[in-house]
Amino acid sequence: MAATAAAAILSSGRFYALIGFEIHVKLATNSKMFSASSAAPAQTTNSQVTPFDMALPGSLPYLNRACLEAGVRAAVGLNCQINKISHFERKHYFYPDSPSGYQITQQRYPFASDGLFHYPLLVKRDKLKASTKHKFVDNPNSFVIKQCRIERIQLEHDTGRSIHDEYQNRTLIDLNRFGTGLVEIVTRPDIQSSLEGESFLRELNRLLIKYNICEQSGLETALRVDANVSLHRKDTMPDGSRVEVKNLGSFIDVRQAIDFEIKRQEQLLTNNYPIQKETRTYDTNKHQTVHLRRKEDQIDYRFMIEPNLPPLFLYDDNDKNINRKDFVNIDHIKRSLPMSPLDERKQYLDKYKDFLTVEHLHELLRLDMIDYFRDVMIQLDNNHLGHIALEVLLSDVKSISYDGRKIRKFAQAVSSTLFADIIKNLEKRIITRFSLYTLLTLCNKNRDSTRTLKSFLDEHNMYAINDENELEKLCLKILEENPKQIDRYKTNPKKVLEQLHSNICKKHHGRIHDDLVNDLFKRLLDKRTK
Amino acid sequence: MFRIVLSRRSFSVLKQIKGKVSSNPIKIDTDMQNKLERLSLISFQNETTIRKVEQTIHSSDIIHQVNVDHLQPLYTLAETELCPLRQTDTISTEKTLQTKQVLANATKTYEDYLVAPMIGKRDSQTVEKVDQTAL
Repeated sequence: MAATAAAAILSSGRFYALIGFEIHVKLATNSKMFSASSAAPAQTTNSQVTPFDMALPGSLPYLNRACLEAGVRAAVGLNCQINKISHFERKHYFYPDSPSGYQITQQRYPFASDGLFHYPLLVKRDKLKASTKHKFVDNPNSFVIKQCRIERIQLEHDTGRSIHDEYQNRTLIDLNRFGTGLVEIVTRPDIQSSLEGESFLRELNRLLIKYNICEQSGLETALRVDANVSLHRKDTMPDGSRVEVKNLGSFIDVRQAIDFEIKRQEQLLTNNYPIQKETRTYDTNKHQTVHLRRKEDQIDYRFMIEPNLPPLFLYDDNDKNINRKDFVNIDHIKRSLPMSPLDERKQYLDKYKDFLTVEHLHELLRLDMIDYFRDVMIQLDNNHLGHIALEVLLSDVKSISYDGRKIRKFAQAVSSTLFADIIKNLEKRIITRFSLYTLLTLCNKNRDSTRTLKSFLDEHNMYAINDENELEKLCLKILEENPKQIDRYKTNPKKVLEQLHSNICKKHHGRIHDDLVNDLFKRLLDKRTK
Repeated sequence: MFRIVLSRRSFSVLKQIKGKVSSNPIKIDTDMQNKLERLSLISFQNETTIRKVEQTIHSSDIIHQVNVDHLQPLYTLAETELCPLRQTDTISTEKTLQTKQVLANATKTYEDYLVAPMIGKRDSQTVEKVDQTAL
């Protein structure tokens, strides 16, 4: 497996890896960046196109303020220095999905640069101990916070969609997507492993969603990532050679591509081959990177300042004519932003410190359950039930929905109010702890979050049997069916109790409280054997 | 019709400049030709065209003699303008074209798509064979 090979290579100490990302983020605005047609995805073919999007003569770009504000939010969230004056440029190349023959971007004069982003390293809890062997996890016992420098953030627009028809040797073009706003985030090569890379991207995704910069969806639609990977011998300086990997559509692809590249470059270095500067593409089926073109064959983009867009000015509170509402005020945006996911999690640790430890938080984060946890806590509004909820989340809910996508599905079916109800009823012993897994699975499958808990319990008869007499009757029945156990009780009481317990639970699955039934059996058997 | 007569002084300056430039004329080799063809989407059919391009480059080279170290390029006439912002993020149905308008000028369309000849997937304008030895 490339993953273990890469981890071994890095922890051997003979090599170190430098990884940087170029991330294109699709902005969550209603209209496009330079024109007023809809930026919504999946619309009827060629129905959201303005003259500018088709590059018809005479059309001009008109910058959408919402896109600029989204960009500034990203820059503030990534702690960047904001350049108050920036310029748009044309990047020229010919391709059918770009009718104008150029893309408007900010290659040399971005509006934000020199940022710093902190992210938690996400390691699977059971693997934490094992990974002390690897250098790049410093302390296995706590939340490791790493940092990555951001080189620049720039505004640009997306191109149209092209569908290649190999049989008829033609390409079909849909221009709906042309002109939708993007923000390109370029990082410095501070990432040192695929684990760091994935952790960084997940935290970045969380920040971008929280600040309403992009839509919540899989990596597929909102973020596109290109990775630059280079491996070097320890004690040598980086020589500027790096391999660019494109076509990374999901977090897992990023992870596998980086691991494959590290393994491939290690083989080259060990055999004294030089590492060619090249662009490679990721093959999702074979989990490998494949050569695409040499760096020397790079297209000459002939950057020039976009003559139709004057310089972009951003203001803050220090500027005099800030009373003009039609300009964007950086400080105003800073004030209106919620706290970063990192700060929010620190707040949870403080607020729920009675039962929430760093390890718990890390596990919730790894399973993408933080939002659900927060909603449930708001519903419960009572710390004393919080620890029960946490325990259920990290055991039963984890078994049912063990990744981010499944958790979101679960949260749709089992709303935080329903879940809170379940916990309250559990505490009142109306339902048993044992029944929770079945109950939660039922609610999840039902997909109706408006149904009351009572209706579920009535339908499947999951009320706990709390009446002592009723319980005694059931226990006596079990004893009648198992006379041998009564005899065995004298010799091996513990085992007999266990067997009787499992027997009754199988029969009345989930309706029996563990502690009640054990005491009851003990009492009955003691009476019998006296 | 006026005949523009260059004064003796400016004429000799021009002669000096031309002298400097003609000392190293540009030659377009095959690599450069391929690059130019790809960048402009124009093919150089024969030798005569290439010679003409070389001559054009040669005579325009005179522009490099001007000292512009202390100047910024003028890329817009509206120098004091700031980039205007479209204030509301609303969709304009008036400005959005109908699909039939989008397809109106295209020679070939297919089910509301515009049709272009297939020139290969993006990012592979020079696709090379996979180098097996390097893997």
